[in-house]
Amino acid sequence: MNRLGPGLLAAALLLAGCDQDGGAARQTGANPPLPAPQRGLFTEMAVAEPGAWGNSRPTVPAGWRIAAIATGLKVPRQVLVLPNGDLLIAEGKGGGQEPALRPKDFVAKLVMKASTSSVAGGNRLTLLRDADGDGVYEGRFVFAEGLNAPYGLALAGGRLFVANQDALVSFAYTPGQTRAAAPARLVTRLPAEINHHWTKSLTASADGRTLFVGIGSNSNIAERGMAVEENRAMIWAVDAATGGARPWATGIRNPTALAIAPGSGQLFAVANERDELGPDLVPDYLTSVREGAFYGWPYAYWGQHPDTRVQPFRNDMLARAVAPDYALGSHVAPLGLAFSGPAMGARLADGVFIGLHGSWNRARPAGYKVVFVAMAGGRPQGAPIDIVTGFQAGGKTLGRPAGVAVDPRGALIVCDDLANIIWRIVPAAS
Amino acid sequence: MQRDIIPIHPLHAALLAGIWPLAAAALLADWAYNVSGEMQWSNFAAWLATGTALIAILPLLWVLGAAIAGRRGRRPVYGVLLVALLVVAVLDVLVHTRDGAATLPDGLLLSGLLAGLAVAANIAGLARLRTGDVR
Repeated sequence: MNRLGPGLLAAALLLAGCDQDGGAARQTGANPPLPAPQRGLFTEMAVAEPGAWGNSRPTVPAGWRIAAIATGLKVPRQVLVLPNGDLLIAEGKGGGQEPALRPKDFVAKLVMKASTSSVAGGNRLTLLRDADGDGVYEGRFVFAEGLNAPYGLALAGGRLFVANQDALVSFAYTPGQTRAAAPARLVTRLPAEINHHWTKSLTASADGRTLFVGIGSNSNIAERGMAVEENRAMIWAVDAATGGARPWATGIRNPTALAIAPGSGQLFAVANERDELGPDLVPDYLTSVREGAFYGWPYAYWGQHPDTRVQPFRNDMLARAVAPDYALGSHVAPLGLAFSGPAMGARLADGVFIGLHGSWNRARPAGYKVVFVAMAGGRPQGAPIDIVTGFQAGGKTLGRPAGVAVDPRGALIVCDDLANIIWRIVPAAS
Repeated sequence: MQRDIIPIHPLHAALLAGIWPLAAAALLADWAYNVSGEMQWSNFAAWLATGTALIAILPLLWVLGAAIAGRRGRRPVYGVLLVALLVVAVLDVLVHTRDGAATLPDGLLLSGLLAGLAVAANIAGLARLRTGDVR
């Protein structure tokens, strides 16, 4: 029963998923079906029209509890659980500096504006504290401000690292601190020209000596030319002590969240793949990241499927492309990645939680939920299991999940960057 | 047989004559992108196709206005060509919203058709504008 239960549950959820998102749920796992690319005269779109949660809440599995532990934030994107249980929230909204090169760019800007929070990014780190462990975060402090669209967060070697949209910086940190004692120290500048995909994701290696920084591409599919893609669409390895940086893995279009697997120390990433090849291309993915590997962008997707929109085309690069591990579905837009632990219950102890921000390039929305992907032997297994859903209701989008974190005391933390809320989800007592 | 000379308003003529340089430039820009792979040419083509679509509306409105007012207009083929021009221009604009080389070959072919239609509309619209006998 223990072995069969999750499988049946996953199968039922998979079928339910098909009804809601028109097939995106079938496109998960190691070998997703890939239809032929299609693009007619119009880009397929469904703009997420924001609504308010009111008294409603996202949906969680039976017996689970969910509560808003912080509201009124300024575009919370990523969250880090500190050793003493405090939560550090990165608030910011970057980009917006790219010049409109075509008539289309004006329209695209309006669409993106309509489907995201109207609140200006906080450019700060907020610290939330639950001193008595009752699940209510009564303490709220501004840890640091005046940052430039902070996104990735990591704690390593007694320093708190923050990936701004243009630089990796660090603060001295001692547990219990609620305010940075000294200004941020520059570790290294990060590629920031144009910054079409501005989010700089971050995690620290198990030994804390290397910082991995995810840098997104400067376009959908190199339509601004390859010159502006230098040092883009890749993951950098940065020496924490010296700030020296080198490409660790390349061809990852937009690596929006990074995490280190407990035990093995293996780097994992979730990535947002290219648009405008149809509603079921290209699947966004979760993958272990191999040093030196080229994951295809822009010339290839899902292994060696060529994307002929890139001219001049590079057959040598196509031949180098490797496929990622696990498809999450096309256009679901993963923005959060966190490894689970024993505190989340035996069934969900080994695997990752993934925040799916939700689609725009699809008539029937996909994503807009937090899923769990089980792992076995360091490889993702089975179908994703829905954990937090109900972000869309009555034709409105009430929230959009972004960064996620697992509190070892037994809770899943989810940033909602549309409603500007931090959700805390507690599994059913086993 | 002596044909009627129907004078064209100078502004109408100027708008009509403004179409073909934009369409021809769109064709050249698409061709340049096709041979060079340099994105900026494709961006030019997108703007030029958009300009062609916008300016093509104006002489069409002129013709429609004249028809509604019951004035003697130009030959019907002129109106048909203007409508065809506008339709092809809108299609060309939409094709140019595609990313990268996905604008090819459709964009190049449509821009070529657009340039041809622009020249044809000029011939049809300005054909009876000549000096000669006046009734």
